[in-house]
Amino acid sequence: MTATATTSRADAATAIVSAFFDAYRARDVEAMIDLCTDNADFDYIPFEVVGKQRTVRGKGKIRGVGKAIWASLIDAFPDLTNEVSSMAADDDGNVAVEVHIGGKQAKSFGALPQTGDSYWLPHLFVFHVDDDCLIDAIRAYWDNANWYRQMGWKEVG
Amino acid sequence: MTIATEFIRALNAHDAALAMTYCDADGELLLPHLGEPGTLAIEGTEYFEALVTAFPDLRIRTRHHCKMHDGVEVAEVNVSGTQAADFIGIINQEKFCDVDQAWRFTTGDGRITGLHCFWDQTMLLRRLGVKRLDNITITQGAAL
Repeated sequence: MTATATTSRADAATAIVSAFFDAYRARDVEAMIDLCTDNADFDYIPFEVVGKQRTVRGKGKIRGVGKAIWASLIDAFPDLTNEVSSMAADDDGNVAVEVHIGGKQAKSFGALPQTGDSYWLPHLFVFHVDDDCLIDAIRAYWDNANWYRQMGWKEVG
Repeated sequence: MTIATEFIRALNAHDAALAMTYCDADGELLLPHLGEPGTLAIEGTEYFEALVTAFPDLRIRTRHHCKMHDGVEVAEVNVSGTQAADFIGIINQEKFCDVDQAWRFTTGDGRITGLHCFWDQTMLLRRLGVKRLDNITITQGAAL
């Protein structure tokens, strides 16, 4: 791997994203949102909750569906925590993070019934940080099959 | 063009062998269904050969691409195609699938030294007609 000198823009972006995961680890959703623009975009690509009337997907705004998902996830997994294993940035405000997130289930979460099991799941997050050092986009990827297997849920959906 | 985009271009040409020539043999490979890290030479060759073989109309469309510092590249892609053969234990039901994925490359000296892929395996399974994680194939009971 070739090490290259980072720029102040890349350093500032990684600092904001680090603060985001610090707030997430503290389970402080308001602090997470405070690091984002008012209209920041949110896309949890694998997120899908099939209800009786409609299907809720994880795409929208951070202050809307993002906040709702984080709050309900923390409510269902009250010891939720995360561990960042890698963080890389470019000079345009993009930051890619490999992070494990997990906890012990205390309540049902969406279609996942309460099992009392724990999970520890690898994710890839891609952030964009704007010129004012605020996050204006978050996209995340993970494997629900791994999550369901850890939680003991067999249906694919 | 970067080494990562060359890799994707080779797969779009259905030339997995060419794609693997851009990789270090010992490079770490993470794929959702593997469970444990593999190597680019062994598990990587096996997987990408299977991908281009099972999906003869395979198309990998890059939605976002970032070239980070320290040799990291991230390609957010949509991988689509119609299954024409059994694929990683998933029996062929001739279904079409498209799945959004993120591929994180580590590169050095003009070569791919690591590849971590992230996607929702349940989405892939649903698209290919699988309903339960403990019953991926009709003939085998192997879970992923």
